[in-house]
Amino acid sequence: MKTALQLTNLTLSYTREQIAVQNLNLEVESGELLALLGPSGCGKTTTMKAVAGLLEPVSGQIRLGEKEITRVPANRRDIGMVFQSYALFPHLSVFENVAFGLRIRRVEQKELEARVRQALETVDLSSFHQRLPAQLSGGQQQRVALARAFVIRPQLMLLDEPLSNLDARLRLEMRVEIRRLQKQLGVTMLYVTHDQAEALALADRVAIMNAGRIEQLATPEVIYNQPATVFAARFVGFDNILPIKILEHRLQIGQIEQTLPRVLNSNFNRAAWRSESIELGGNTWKGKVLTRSFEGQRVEYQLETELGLIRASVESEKAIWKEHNTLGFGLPLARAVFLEE
Amino acid sequence: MKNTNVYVLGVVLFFLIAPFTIVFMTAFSDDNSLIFPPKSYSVRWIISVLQTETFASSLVTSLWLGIGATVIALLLGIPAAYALQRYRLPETEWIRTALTSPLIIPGLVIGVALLRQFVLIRDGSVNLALLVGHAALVLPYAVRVVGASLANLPRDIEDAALSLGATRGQVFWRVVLPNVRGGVAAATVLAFINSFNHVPVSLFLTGPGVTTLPIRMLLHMESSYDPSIAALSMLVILFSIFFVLITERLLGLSRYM
Repeated sequence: MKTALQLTNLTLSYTREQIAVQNLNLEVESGELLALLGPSGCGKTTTMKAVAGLLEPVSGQIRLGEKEITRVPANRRDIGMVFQSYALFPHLSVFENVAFGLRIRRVEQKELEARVRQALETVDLSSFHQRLPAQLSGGQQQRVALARAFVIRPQLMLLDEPLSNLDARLRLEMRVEIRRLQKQLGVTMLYVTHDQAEALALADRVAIMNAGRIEQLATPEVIYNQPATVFAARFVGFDNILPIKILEHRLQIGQIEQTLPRVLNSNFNRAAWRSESIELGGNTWKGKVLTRSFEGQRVEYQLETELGLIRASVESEKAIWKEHNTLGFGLPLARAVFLEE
Repeated sequence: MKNTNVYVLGVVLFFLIAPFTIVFMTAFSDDNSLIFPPKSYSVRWIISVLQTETFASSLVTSLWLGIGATVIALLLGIPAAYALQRYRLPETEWIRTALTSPLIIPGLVIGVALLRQFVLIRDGSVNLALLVGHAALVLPYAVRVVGASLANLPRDIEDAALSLGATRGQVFWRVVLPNVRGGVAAATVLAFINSFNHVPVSLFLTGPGVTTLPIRMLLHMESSYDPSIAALSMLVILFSIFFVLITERLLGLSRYM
């Protein structure tokens, strides 16, 4: 696999005092969709701005394909960018918005028209070419923004929270659309989002970012099943993270010791479970139902226990416990993820 | 409540429109002196005004001055407004205040200062002093009005143009300027009309051969109290309305004013 984008020891900051991103290393492979996933303020958008050339790095290196572009101005980087706000040109028609990059590149009229028309066809907006951006719905504006970015055939596309201004249904639709587009065009994409479901559904690989660092970089399956850090675990939905002690072949949670099925690194001091991994109705620990909320297929419980607050989720037909009931529960070791903090 | 609003609106409109009615009626007077309402009507004063050489030459002076001052104010004001919008320095507010200070400083002061420092001491031309004075006078409109319309243009849009390969210059000409067109139009109207109607700055900077129209009207009123001043006022008002309509047509202004 060829490397499309390589960030080496990248340090970024907006003001002299505050470092937004520190010593970031990241490689995006050619043709892949890599998602930068993290909460707001984690440095993911800052990283994207540096790649786009809109923010000059304090130190470090950015390589696009074979070329070093760390100090290359934004307009000579050959990167297509899709903004959270879409950033369409309000005074230009859909056609002219998409044509903008080609006109700047002095593509001759005939080829320009063909390419714009094809781009609009790809995003299913052919009949809208004369409209102004203000006359389009949010989803349509988003598709124009995509077409405008890929029509210049950039080496890399950057997408900054492209779906966060859309309603839930449209977001799911556009997710599929972006994935289809990326595969169809074979373009490398760096995708920034704070929505873990979106990142996992879309990306070939996901980088979880926190406080200006990458916590974990892996495929969606690995991120979902084996988060590597407490932060990553919490971010991808491991709602129950408990302190543990590992003593050779024994594991201690709260006051209870269990025999471990396999040898574990004794540095692990946390165990994490998803809410659906908690076994309700066991008898290892006792808890009291604090809240019960019906979510259709499943019922979500918050339990007050000797281990603190536990979140559990069971299929609706098995959710026999009401609020204030006491019940037993188990923490199956086979479904736990062990972490170090 | 609703009735009170309508009543207030009526009063406001009356105060705004009544003076026009008086000016327009007197303009068509047939009397020899300025009285309201006129005893009889004709167009003789309007024709007389149009045939008066001094009025015509003052009009030409005022037009050139208005156009010149507006062009200078836009050439300086648009880049200034753009810079103030894009570069948020601690000094930004000071610069903004300095650029809008001609609104606060009495025009007479600007006029006297230019007369003393520029015309008398440095032997500069009166025409040039007038142009400089008027340009300074209307610069704040360009900075403020264009600035307000730039503030509504998200930064992302410029970044998008940059990422598509546009140079800073292309971003400005192809993206920024077309999107603040309405603001530029509004600034043009405000600047031109203000220069065209302004008295204080011009007061000390006119003399034989160089007289703006408002000054000419003032001089005329001092010597003769006839309806020609009403006729001239009407023509000036009609011209101003015409100018606003044309600018509206060309640049689409109503959204911004």
